[in-house]
Amino acid sequence: MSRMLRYGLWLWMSAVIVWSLTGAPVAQGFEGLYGESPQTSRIVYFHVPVAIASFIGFLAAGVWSIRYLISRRPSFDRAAVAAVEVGVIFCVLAIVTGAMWAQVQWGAAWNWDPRQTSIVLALLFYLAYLSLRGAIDDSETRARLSSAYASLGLVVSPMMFFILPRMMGPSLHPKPASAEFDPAIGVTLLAAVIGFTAIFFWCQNLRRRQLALASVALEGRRA
Amino acid sequence: MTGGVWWLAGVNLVIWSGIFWYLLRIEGKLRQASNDLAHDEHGEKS
Repeated sequence: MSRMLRYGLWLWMSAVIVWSLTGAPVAQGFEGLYGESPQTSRIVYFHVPVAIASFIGFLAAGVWSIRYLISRRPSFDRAAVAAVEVGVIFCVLAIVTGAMWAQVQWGAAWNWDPRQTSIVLALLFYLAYLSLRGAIDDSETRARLSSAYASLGLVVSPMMFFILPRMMGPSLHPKPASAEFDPAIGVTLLAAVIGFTAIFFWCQNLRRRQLALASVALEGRRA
Repeated sequence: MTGGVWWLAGVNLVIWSGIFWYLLRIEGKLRQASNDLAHDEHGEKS
């Protein structure tokens, strides 16, 4: 990422933070069980973008894994594992912020709501990917098997993030396109999604480069 | 304006700036390590 882009990202996210916490409208009907201020619903400007960024990251990991299976270039495998590692962190952030908001809105942090359950299943799927990698010593076998596994994520992720929650029946979760949302909320969310996705790919890029340097160092030690 | 939470925006700005500075530091360290590695390889060849 060039220097200009990095400082641009700092400015962008700073503007998103200030706007989403002070200027952007709050969603109506989010007073909470005990009459909490609807201001608590501003957590949506963090919770939704990190969830979407992790979803995009998991999809990118699937694409890089398929590219590895086609070309057998280790750089694609490193890009995939970096995307999954950062994606898992973002996914945990989405779950934790969701639980915090659920505590205020529904009176309990965990309710086995379809969306809560399905995002945890997605997290478990990618934690299993990291476990799989940890269990295989041979680097080529590890890359091949884990790439085959992560490419399944191209089907599993949309299933867990979007399809399964709709199939699992009634949900307490607010529907993204419902009438209670002001269009200005959508614009703020979009700006936050762009910012968090950029942060995601910056972190993924740093981790990928770190893995590349580690593999060069390892080869040097073996030689 | 909807009477938002200015103090929270300030706290978040500080946290975001800290994360940004940390990522910049990692960026610098990685660049330095890549340069060192390239320099070593060049040194070995010549």
